[in-house]
Amino acid sequence: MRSLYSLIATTALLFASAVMHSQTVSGTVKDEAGTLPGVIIKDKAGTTGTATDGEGKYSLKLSAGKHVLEFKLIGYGTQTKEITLADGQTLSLDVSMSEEGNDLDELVIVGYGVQRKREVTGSISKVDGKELTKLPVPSFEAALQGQAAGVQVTQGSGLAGSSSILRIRGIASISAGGDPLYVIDGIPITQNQFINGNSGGMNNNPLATINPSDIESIEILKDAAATGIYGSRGSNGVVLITTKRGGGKKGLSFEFNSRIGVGTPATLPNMMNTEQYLAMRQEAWENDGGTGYVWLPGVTYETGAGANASALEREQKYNLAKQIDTDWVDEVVGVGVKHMYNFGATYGGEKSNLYAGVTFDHNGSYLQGNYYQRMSGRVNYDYAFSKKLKVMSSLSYSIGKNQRVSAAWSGGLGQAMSTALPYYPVTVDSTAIELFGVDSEVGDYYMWNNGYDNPVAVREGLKWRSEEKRTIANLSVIYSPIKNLNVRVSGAYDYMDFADYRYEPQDLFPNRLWGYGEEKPTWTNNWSSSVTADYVWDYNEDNKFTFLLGAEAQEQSVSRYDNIIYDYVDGPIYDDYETDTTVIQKFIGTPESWTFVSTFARVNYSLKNRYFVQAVSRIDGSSRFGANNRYGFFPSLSAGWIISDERWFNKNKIVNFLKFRAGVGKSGNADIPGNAQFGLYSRVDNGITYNGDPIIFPTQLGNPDLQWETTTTYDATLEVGLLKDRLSATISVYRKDTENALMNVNVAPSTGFTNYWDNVATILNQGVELTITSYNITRPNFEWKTDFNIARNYNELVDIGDYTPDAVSGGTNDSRVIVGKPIGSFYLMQFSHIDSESGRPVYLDQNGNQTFDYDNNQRQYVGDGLPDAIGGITNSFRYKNWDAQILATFSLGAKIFDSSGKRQLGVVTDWNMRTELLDRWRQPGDDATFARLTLDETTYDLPSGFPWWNTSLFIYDADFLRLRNLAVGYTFKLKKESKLRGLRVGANVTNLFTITNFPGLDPELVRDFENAQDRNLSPNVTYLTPPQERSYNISISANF
Amino acid sequence: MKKSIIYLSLFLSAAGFTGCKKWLDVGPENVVLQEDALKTPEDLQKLLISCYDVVGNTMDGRVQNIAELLTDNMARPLNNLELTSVYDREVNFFNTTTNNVYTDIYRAIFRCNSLLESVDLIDGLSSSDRIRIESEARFIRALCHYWTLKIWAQPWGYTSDNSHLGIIIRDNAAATPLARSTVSESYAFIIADLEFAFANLPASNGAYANRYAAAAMLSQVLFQKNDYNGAVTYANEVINSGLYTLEPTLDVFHAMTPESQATANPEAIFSIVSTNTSTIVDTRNEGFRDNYFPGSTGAQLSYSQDLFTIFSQSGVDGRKTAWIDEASGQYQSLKFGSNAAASFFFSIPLIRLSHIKLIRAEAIAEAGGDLATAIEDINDIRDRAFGVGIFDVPSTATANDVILAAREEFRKETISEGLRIDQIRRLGAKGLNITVRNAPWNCPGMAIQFPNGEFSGSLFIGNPEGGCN
Repeated sequence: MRSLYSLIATTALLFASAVMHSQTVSGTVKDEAGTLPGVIIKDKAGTTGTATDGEGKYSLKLSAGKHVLEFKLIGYGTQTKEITLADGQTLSLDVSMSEEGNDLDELVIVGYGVQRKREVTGSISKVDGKELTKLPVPSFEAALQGQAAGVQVTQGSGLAGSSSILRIRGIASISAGGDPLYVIDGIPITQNQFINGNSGGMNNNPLATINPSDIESIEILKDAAATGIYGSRGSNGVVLITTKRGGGKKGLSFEFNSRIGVGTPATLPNMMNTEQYLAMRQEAWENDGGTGYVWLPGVTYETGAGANASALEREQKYNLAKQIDTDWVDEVVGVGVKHMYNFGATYGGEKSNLYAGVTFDHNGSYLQGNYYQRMSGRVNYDYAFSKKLKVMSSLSYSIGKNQRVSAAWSGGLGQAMSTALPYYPVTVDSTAIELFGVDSEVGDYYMWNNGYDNPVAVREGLKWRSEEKRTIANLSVIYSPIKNLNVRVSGAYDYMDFADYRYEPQDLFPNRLWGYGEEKPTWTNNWSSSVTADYVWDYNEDNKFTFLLGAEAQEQSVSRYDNIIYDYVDGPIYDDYETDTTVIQKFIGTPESWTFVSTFARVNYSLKNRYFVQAVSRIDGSSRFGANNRYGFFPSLSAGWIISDERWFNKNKIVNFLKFRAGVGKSGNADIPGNAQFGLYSRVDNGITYNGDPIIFPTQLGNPDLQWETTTTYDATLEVGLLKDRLSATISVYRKDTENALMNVNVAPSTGFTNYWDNVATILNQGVELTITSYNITRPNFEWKTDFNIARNYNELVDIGDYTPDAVSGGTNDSRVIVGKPIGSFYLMQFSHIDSESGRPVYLDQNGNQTFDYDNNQRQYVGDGLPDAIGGITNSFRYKNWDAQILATFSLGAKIFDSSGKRQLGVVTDWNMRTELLDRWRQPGDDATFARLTLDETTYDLPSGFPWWNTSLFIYDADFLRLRNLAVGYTFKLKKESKLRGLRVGANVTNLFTITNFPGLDPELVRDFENAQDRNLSPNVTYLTPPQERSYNISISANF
Repeated sequence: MKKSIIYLSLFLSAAGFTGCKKWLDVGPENVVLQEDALKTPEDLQKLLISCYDVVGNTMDGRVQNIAELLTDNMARPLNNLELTSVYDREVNFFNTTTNNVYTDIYRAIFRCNSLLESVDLIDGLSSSDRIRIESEARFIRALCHYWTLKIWAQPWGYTSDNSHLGIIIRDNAAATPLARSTVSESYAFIIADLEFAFANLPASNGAYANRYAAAAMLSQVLFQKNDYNGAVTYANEVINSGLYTLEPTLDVFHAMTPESQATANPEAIFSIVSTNTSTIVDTRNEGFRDNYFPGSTGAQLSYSQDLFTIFSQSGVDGRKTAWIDEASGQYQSLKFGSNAAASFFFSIPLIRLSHIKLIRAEAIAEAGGDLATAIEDINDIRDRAFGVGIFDVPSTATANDVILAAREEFRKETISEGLRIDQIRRLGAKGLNITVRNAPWNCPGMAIQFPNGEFSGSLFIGNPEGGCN
């Protein structure tokens, strides 16, 4: 086609009559039915453009020479024509466009192959790689937010390198991993977030080392028909990542882009200052019947040796404390610096294709001392030996260095929001020395409790780094012995070397006699190989079959040291434990291995190019399950029908495209620890003795019947194109029934164990998704496009057998499993109001009766963190060379449990408090949000010793609309002789503002989790979690 | 063409499934599968020692501290909120301190039950080893059940027929949820285990339980259910064995100096053993060491004013100065020595001759037996505390005098050891007006709440919480 038009253009040129000094190209644009109005015609190199009139005619004045013209119409795609205009030439160029040329022919990656979009029978959302690099994000998956309906991306905290949570059509797992399966170029990659446990208030993010600039596209497989071929592990969806490859005989080209920016907190906590804190404390003391001045944490004591501090002493200390006022939040928060450089080369030749890229990305967070650095390189090389034999290879290497700071419960900003009281100084002066009676010099850090508490001293003293080195390599040989038959043999290797290095100098711990170093290395080897054969059988024009058969095997092994300890060291030690003599102890961790083996088959049948049927079958065995239940069978059946291609369908001006598709299928989940099924004993050489005699002991209850968690998905979708695709919409309804959901159930401790793995729960997810794309304005100089998506998911835990809500809990959070409610509902004492007479809190028991009694047996469902609706809206504008994009994301109907509120807004303790608490009860008749202040938890009827005020008072609406990204850019008009092919500069701001009623820090949050179960059950629980960042960036990208 | 597709699919399926089974047989490395763990008599012995190991980590002061905090012997803890809730008798099912102790106790019981279910399956196990191993396992199982019963249930006599809820009795290794047995059933099970152990354990068994350890436990348990004759019978077995003599000094834990830690405690009938050799450094007393030794702001656990007053009331009790330091504003304990570093390696005499003598004395007097023996038992303890003959019970004392003296000595002698709670419960159930910090002996919170996890099954009924303040 293309060459045909070149020919026409050239012919036209030869016969055209010349008009001096003025060159015009004109003609008519048509489709099968007639002329096309509104087609935009642009000179690709310049800014000149026009549009066809009501009769499909156009005329465009151009300079003499070579031009590339773009013909563009929504629903008809884009066509380009190369023309050469002689001086004064008038060229006649008629163009015919067809609807066939629209994005229905776009190829979609479906797993072990590609399909034309029109043939696809499953629910797949495609996100272009370019969308991912528009945003500066800690990790690529964060950039998927708002891009696809039913894909909930909750951004991680403000910590550098933090991970986001992806939920595809709700959550269908309890204790097994609830994240989608990530597959890069066909390899299911290592994605364990708990490789380093919960360290320092953060989980390691194994996706952070993936370079977003290397990504060509991401396909999100949402239903069983789509995940079918990855069905065994697709219960929670599949994210297919395809990296860039060269191609198209286009020769060599380069791209360079860079971005620099700064990050600040999107919001800040409102902690009390010394005056406020002391006044609150004094009021609490007086409310409790105390006289004189209140005792102060760290200074005078309620119990113990200092308990008898005299009234005079208390008064003196109180007045000294008033002279110190530290803004601890200010001490830990700063401005993060970011800079990224990416360079890529693409080559497309006769026989070989190449993509090579290198990136350096330094991402500093707003927490002082915290940054994530990624250095990565990738080479993708393809070579065709002949028409029958082709080799495709990929190799990537990346290093992710995370310079760590303590956060949340472990220190840093978390401490600034809790136990770092405002009258504690960063360094001591004479007032502080007198106040605290410490044996320090002026200028020394003040270390309270037993040291390791001053966030500034810890930040400056602690040397802490996590480092991940990752290699992903794969090689495929594709052999096509006969026409339409391809046999593909692939092998892949994903290696991850992760280590956490930590050095604590002696002076952080007044009671420690030495500097202490530790190192926790983990090595993960992930091998996979597959053999597939696909054959296209065109029986006749109307009947077409595509067969795929395949087998796959995967093995992963993890080995680790739980810890390597160096005592008496004076600096961090990196990787020296084999020879270093200061190594005190090495604790070998329990290695873990698992394997998968699968066979699969897929048949696609296309009738008259408008009826499509797909059948998929996959059988998977996994070593993770008991010998009795190793294998799972995962079939799916789906069909599509392009209604608008029927003859009887009246192709009117309004509806130009209509497709219906539906599918049913089964998918599974096996994301549990490799050893879960086994009854285990300790190693024989465990080294543990009692009375000098060796011991062996049981360590884990086994379950030989452990089996696959399975989900049956039903999906029905209607795709509509209106007004020649000016407006297109996709609406899906689905239902997912999960059975045998894996639970690491809390068993009665009287069994001698605390938990074990079993297939217990039944879960329901059902919902509806809507995606709308609208080209609001398509003028030559001004375009405005809106992408909108919204999804509603209903989640319900249907059954957990004989277990109670406490059978599974989300870490230290108060999320539980309650039948009839969503997974991970908050299970707390219901708060009613503050009694205006006494100022005491009034609770509601399970029957709804008001009571002053706080009783853990009366805990009940008080909300959940799962949203009713999520979505995103993107408005893209182009005016001449300027472009702008506004991305807003929203979440409706979820609740947040502000778990830190129970200490910041409750009983007055050694935690600093938030200024909302100023709205507290003070005298009879007060109608206040918060209770009378007290130092004694029993005032609120809490059990003595438990000042954690776990009530629904701290459950808040988490609805928000967030201006996720605001970007503007300018694309330069380049001279023809310029070697540059493209140059764009841009600027953007992320998280400029958020509309929410949530009174805490950030309504969108991912806290640190203990394990996958906690991650599934405890979304929207915050515990001193750092808020997200707001970043300001400028960028440049060039192609040459 | 069709044929080639069929061949190819056959090939692929074959390739997929051949060796599938082997490929999937990935065993865990560096650990041992349950079915491979117990093959030889040595394996069984190692598992038995692991039962002691758990007991050693649990009865290292941790369980004793919980028992002791429920009594009038203790002051409010310094700042440990979970221990404070024990002191306030408001333990709820989220208390990790008490929950961890409970979980550990049952971990030992599980191991004992696994052992008892495996003795028949081991080749080459001699009959003498077999009966010894079984007996030791049943001794430990009884010890663990009994300490649980003491803390997590209301006592014998709380209801007239003892049909009130006791604890979960585990007599096998199945991990099924169970309901609580009654107190009566709980006692019967514990006593049966101890009787088996007493009948079959050797008289000498190194650092591990021997028949006298079983006898001493039986004496304690029977005494607690007011079976005085039974208590005397088994106390006599222990005392008349001649194997045990009172420690002559007030360093009854052999804890106060490194030297005393290195020598055997003559009155220890059953001990939690710390080991300090050139190759093994293994200390099993953290529960005491971490809580009784003072830090910069005081000791976490210290004695009550009430207890100190009792030491001051009768004569010049050497224990008052030897065991209590009143200089610091707290009544800090010196029973384990005066500094943590010097008292690192003491073993814990979980059952010692002093306990058994005082139980025998009170039981004899209650049962109407020979008061001379009872008086001698008490005076042995008093001679050590006050000096020989200085504060003796006179030979003319009545049975009631003996009972009162025995109770007073028992309370004073056993401070920190987790035994005062037995006395409070027993005397309360006998009808004495006993209160602890103004709450009656049988207020609900005196039987502390079970761990949250126990409630995950629907059969389980917990204790009422609080209600003592």
